Parts: sequence; C-alpha cells; structure tokens
Amino acid sequence: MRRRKRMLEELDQEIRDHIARETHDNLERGMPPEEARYAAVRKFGNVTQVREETREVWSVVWLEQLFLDLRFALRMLRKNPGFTAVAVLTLALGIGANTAMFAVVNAVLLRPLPYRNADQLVQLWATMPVFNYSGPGQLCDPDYLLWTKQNRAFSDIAAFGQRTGNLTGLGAPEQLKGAEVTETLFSTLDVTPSLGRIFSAEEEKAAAPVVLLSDKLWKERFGSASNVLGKSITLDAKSYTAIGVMPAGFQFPNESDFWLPHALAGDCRNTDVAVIARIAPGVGLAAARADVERLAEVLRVEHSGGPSGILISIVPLKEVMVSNVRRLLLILLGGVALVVLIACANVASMLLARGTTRQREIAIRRALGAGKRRLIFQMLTESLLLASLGGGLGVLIAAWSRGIIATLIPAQLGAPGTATSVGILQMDARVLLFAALLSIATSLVFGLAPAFQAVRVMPGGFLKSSGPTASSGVRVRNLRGILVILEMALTIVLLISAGLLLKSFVRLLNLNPGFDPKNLLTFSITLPETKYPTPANMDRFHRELLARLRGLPGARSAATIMGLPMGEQGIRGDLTVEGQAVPPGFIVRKLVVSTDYFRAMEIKLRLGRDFLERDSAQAAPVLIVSQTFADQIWPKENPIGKRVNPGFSGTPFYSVAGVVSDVNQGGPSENALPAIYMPYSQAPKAFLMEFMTVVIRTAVAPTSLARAAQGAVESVDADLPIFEVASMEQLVYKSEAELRFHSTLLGCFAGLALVLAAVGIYGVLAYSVTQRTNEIGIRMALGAERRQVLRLILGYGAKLTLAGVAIGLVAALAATRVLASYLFGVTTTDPAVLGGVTLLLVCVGLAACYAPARRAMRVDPMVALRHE
Amino acid sequence: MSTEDERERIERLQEALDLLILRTLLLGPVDGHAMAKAIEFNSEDLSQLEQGSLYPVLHRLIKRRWISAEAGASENNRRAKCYKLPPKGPRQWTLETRKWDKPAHAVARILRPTKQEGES
Repeated sequence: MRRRKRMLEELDQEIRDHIARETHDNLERGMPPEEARYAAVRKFGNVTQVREETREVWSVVWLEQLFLDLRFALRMLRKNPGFTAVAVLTLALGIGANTAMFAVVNAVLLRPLPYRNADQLVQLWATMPVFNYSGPGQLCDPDYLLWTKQNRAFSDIAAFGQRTGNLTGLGAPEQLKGAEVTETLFSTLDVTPSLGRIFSAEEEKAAAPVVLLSDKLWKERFGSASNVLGKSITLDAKSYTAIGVMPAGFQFPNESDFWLPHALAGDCRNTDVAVIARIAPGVGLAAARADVERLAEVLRVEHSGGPSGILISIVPLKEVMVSNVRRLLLILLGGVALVVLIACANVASMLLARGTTRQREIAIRRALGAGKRRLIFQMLTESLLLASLGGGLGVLIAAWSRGIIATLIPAQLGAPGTATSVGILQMDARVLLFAALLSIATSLVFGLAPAFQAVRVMPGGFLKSSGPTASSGVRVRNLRGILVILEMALTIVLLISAGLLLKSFVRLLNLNPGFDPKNLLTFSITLPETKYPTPANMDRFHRELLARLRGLPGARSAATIMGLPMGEQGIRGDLTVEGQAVPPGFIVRKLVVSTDYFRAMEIKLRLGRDFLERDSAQAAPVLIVSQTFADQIWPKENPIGKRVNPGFSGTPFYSVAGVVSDVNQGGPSENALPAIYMPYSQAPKAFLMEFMTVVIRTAVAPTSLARAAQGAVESVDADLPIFEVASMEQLVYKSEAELRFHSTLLGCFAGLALVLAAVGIYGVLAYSVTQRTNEIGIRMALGAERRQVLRLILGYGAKLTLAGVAIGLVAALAATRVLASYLFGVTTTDPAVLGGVTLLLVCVGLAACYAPARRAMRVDPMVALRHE
Repeated sequence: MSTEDERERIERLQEALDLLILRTLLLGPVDGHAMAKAIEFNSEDLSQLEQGSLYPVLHRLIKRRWISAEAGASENNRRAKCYKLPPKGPRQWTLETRKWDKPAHAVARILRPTKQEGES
C-alpha cells in the first residue's frame, strides 16, 4: 500500500519532467518557446486521464480482471449457443437432482428439532440383547424416580407414555393420540402453554382430571375460543378440565393432541414409560452417558424388582427421530452425487474438445503476455459461469420437482415428534447455499483439467504451425476416453442399484398377499375400559356391531381382526404344542378374528372348518393355523384336532379346527411368519378384545361405505369413534411406499445417468471422427473399405464402453452391498439384473456410437484429404 | 459490430504496447520519456498514440512485477525515474522473443486483426 502511494506521488513529478523534456526537445528543434510547450502538452495527451488510469491500475485489479473475464466468458458462451445449452442443461440436471435430494435430507436430517437447544435433549434407550430388542420403552416408574433423584448429568428429566383417547361430547367422536406425562416434560422441552397453565406437581401426584390441549385440537374443536379454560372434555368416557393450550406445532411425542398428568406408580407393572432428559450445560454427551450407565448398574443391583438383562444408555433425541431413515437418505444422496459426477465428466469432455479448437486464441493470448495462471483463471471463470447458469437452472428444477418428491415420501420419513412431516421441503437458505457450493465445486471438477490442458500450448510453436498439433489431439482424445470410461462405470453402478431396487419393487407388487385387497374397507375401534370392563361386555358389542355392519347395503360380508395385514402388526410370540417341542426360535403371529373373517378377506381355507357362531366363550376353544404353521409343526400328520397353547399366562389348550393359506402381513421386510387365529369370543385375554379392525367386503367402491359404517358403529355406541378409515388397497399402497420412494428416485437418477453417459460417448466419438477425418480419408484412399472404417470407430466406442462396464461392475459389487437390507427377494448379485443392465448399457453405448461411425463411413476421401 | 471491432482493436493495441515496452527494456533500463521516443520511432502504428498513455501501461507492468522502477539518471544527467526488467525477469518471455526471427513482423501480424483467427 505504501508503495502504491509513493508510486502515485512520483507520477506527477514524472509527468512534469516528461513534458519539460519534450518541450526542451522541441526547442532544440527550433520551435518558438510558446509553441514548443503547447506541442509537448498536446503530444502527451490528457494528464488527468493518465493520472486516473494509473490510479486504476493500482486499485483492485483482480476485481477488474474478474469483470473482464466474466464479460469475455459471457461473449464466448453467447458465440457457442449449442455448446452452452448442452453444458448448462447437463449441469442443471446434475445440480438440480442433487439440490432436490439435499432438500429432503435437509428437511429430515439437518433441520433441528423444534425445541430450544434441542441438541441437549436425549432419550433413555434400552437394549435387551436376549430379545434382540432396542428401543425407548421397557422402563417403569421406579426406574424413572431413581434417575430423577440420583443423576448428576441432567438439568431436567421427564417421563411420558403414549396413549390414545376417545374424544366424545364435542360433535363427532374421534380417537385422539395423546400422552400421559410428568409435569417436568414441559420444562425439559422448554415449552410453555400459549394459553392457561401446565399442571402442577400436586396435580400430577393425584392424577388430577386436568388436560392440556394441542393448538390443533383447540382450533378444530373450540374454534380457538379463549374461554376454553375450565371447560370439561370427555376422553374415554372420563371428564377432564382443560387448563391450558400448548403452542402451535407442539405435538410431542407423536402427533399428540392432549396431555394428561402421569401419576408415578410405586411398582413396575407398567413398563411402557419412556424417559427424556436435558443434559445440563457443561456436561458432555459422553459424561452423561457414563452417568446413566452408572445408575443402570445401581438399578440392576439394588432394584431387584426392576427389569433384568436390560442395558440402558442415552441417545440424542434427534437421533431417535431420524436413525431409521438416515442410512437410506445417505444412500440416495450418494446415488445422486454420482449423477453430478457424470454431468461433470460430460462437460469436462466438451471443454477439452473445445480447448483444441481454441488453441490459436490461447497461443495469441500467451504471445501477448498472458501468464499461464492468468489464462487458467480466465478459463475457470468461464467454467464458473457455466456452472452458475447450470446451478441457477438446477435450483429451478429442484424447486419444481419438490412437489413430485413430496408425494413419494413414505410416512416413515416423517420424523415423529417434529410436528410437521416432511411434506414441506423448503428451499431454505441452507438448500440454496448447498446449490451454490455445489455449483462452485462442479466448476472446479469439470473446469480444472481442461484449463490446464488448454494452457499447455506453446505460443511460439503454435503460431508458426497452422493447426492443432497431432500430439495434443491424441492426448486430449485419451483424456476424454478416460472420462467416458469413468462415466460408464458410474452409470452402471447406478443402473445396477436402481435395477435391484426396481426388481424388489416389482417382486413386492406381484407378491400374492394371500387375500384379495380389492373392495375392502377397513377401520379400527378401541373399546374404552371404563365402558367395557369385561370380556362379556365387549363380546356383546362385537356381536351387535357385526350384525349391523353385515346388514349395510353394499356390504357383502363384514368381520373383525386384531392384527390386520398391512396395518397393525398384532402380537408375536412363542407357544407350546401338545406332545411335541417346537423348533428353537419358533415365533408366531397371534391373531384374533371374528367369524367370517376368512370369507371377507378371501383367504383360502385349506383344511378343516371356519369359525362358527357356536365357538362361543363357553364352547371348547378352537383355533385355525396358517399353512406354514402346519407345514413346520406337523409336516407329515393331519393337523386337525391337534392341541396348541397360545402361550398367554393361564390359557388352556386350543384344538386346531382348520388350516388357512398364508397371508403376507406387511411390507417387504415381513417374512411369512407362521400364524394362529383365535375366535374373538374365545380370545385368551381381554386386551386382545379391546382393539379391533373392521374389514368389510363391499360390492361398491369401498370408501363410499365409510359413512354408513360409521353410522352403524354409532347406532351401537354413539360415543365410539372409528379411526384409520382406509381401503385395503390404500394400505397396501402405503406399505409399498418406502420401496417405491427409493426405487423411483434411484431409477430417475440412473435414467438421468444413462442419458448423460450416452451424450458423453456420442460427443467423444463424434469429435474423434471430426479429428480423424484426415486419417480416415487416407485410409480410404489407400483402399480401406467402408465397413472397416465403421469397425474402426465402433471398435473405439466399444472399447470405451466395455472398459467402463468392467470397472463399473466391480465397483457395483462393492457399492450395492449397502443396499442389501432394502432389497426384497433379490440378492445384490442377481444375474438377471447384472446381465440386463450390462446389456442395456452396451446397447445404449453402441447406439450412441453409431451415428458418428456412419458419418465416418461416408467420408469422401478427396474432401477429407483437402480437410487440412 | 464495428464498435466491437474497434474496441477489440484498441484492446490489442494496449496489449501490443505491453509487448513493445518489454522489448524496449530488453536493451536496458530507460526512463519514460526516452521509452516514448523509442516506441514512436520503432512503430508507425503507435506514433498516433498519446505519450501519456504509456504511463498506465508501465504501472500495470510494475504491478504485475514484470518490470520494476528505480531512480536513475537520464541522458543529460537529469534526475529521472528509470524502468527496467527485473534481474530474473520473465525468462520465458525472453526465450520466446529470441525465437522470433522477425519480431516486428510478428507484431504486425498481431496488430492486423484477421477474421478467421481466434475464437470459434
């Protein structure tokens, strides 16, 4: 800076000297003094302008250069609209796909939970190695009390249990999700009611009949009226006084609409308590974890009534919410990153080709004194401009495709408790920043090699010769060949991944569920204990309900089940078979159904008989087993009349009355577990009767019957809400959502990659033909046949494709291993997928080569030789 | 279109000026006035240029560290600022220039813009 100042000061002196000397010269030449001075000044020119320009030299030169470079780059891009369009579009697709995918990752994984200092929140996490269980529950109140009193790591700690409640007395009855919580929950999460107050410690202790409402419930049922406080609402036939309304968006733990006080019990009968805590400031996660594990040890030693064989640790709350989807999202993000790499390879290849035609321009620039660094900077400015245009267009593509992606997102991706599901994929600052950084990164990835390649040209050597030198052409061709091989390899990795998922998906779609999902209406009911205290009460309700439903016009048959396929998973566990040991690890699904269930679902009866009205609570207990069950337990005997104990405490043996075909209970991860079906009236435990899902086989569109079905339920019990109303086809569609999501996305990515790779190899070959026109002409003049020329060019293309395929196959074998757990009925080395994809890529590659090869074949030797 | 051509021509003249300054300095250190005279004498194309326009170019070259300036004495023993190539200098430049059998011809070629050259 000091130097700059001195330079400018000296300039004035210099200018005066200059003019003085010029005047002196003029005088010596014999001019009159006046004229000599005037001529010197005129010859010098505008002094102010000279001063100004010199000052500018010393101002921020790089900015000025950048501006010049940008203007030049813009001019270059305008001059080659074809090149620019293809490059920008290629980059836009790559950057757009990545931005859209990142928007999903941002919404699910990166956005913090909507609580203050949410990174301090943890959940106690139980692992039971014996049962292969890992989850938040399995704690009980005394455990929680121990942590409350003895922990040294938490500033706040709270217990909660999820529950449901039938809301009645405020218009149509509705089943709500809610929670019983300790009053500390609100201080732990650091939320305060927007209206009213939370309950006190005394109210909690007494399990006082007070309730906090969600903002959503308040809006829907009370029209946001402020006089809601003090009003009473009825949940499960019990009255509660509303004392507060929580702020909008707060629905912890999972879409809760109400919160009741959780009175701590003195024993461990209820083991479904979850505990969250806020780590005290200054305590690290590791220290907190160590403290929790210390207390877990205390629990094990002192608290003999507590759970045994449980390892307890802590997991950040955010982790609890997203752990099941993180891996999948990262795999998809990895997949889409390959797409942008392929796009980069394409544009790099195009730039390399253009670099050879620009050799003359570069040579002149260098001759005129542009340094290598300066030229590289200029070329990179061009790349950056391309990438920025591509990035801008890419953001538009991403914004547009959000809607489509949002409809594909499976419910599993919506992190529970984040109040808002993933439906809102915002293009927020982070997503835009990602797009910007990605654009800059791509400009370096695709721009550096061509820039360095371009400045290798020697000014002197080039200006003397008349055209691109043969050797530089070969080097560029080799470099572009490598890029094509890389593209092919990346493409095949994506194609194989997508192929495997797609095949899994098709498998799933073609899977025989074991029942007919068409024209089935389903909905669920929970019988509150307050109104239906005994199995006899419930059985009476059940009979009446079925009678009404079966009488509905449009209903062919109606039945109930606890453990509907594609819905609730029902109860799983072990059992005993009379006179015989079951194989180790033999787990069955235990389902409770009404009469007519198999007829309504169209599940085939293979042996024996269906349940009948006479299988009442007083009659001898019977059950029906699935085909797999019968095959595994009695492979050679007739199962009818054998006796099975369902394995609940105090249940008698049931004799097998029939065998039905297997039913696929859930999504792709569900194996066909063996199953037993017990009649509703003979359900071994009351809790198996409280919850039921109704299935109605309809003669009309199933959802059109929903209203009438609700009416039928109301006519039996006006206070009973029905929930989860859906057609079976909707449930099936939902169960396929996850596989549909990632196979569709990865399929799109792979398709994109295939198109880009085809464009890439086409470009390289087309360019190679133009470059080699001369050579081809000589060959043809010397007697080469057109067919040989075709083979020459196609051979080059085939070599690149096959090299890419070979490398890609090896890479794919390694890469697809991460997909293994998402596949269904397909192994990662599925020969049909590997073979099909390879064939597809080779065909596309050769097809892309064909046009340039034909052009080469048609070369006229005379024209070609004059081409020089 | 013609203004574009004109602007390009001026840009090229500027760049040619760089070239001529460096070539002059190859012969030894020289002050601004003498430099102007030398360039005027050597190239008729540049004789219409105003002498002052030399100075921003000189400063740009200094900034790029292609040349340096120091206080020195001019021909008739007046104090004047001298410009010279740095001791190590852009060696490549020197080598390349020496390879040119007829530098003037090369410069002329550059100064006369031909249509088929350059960007395509």
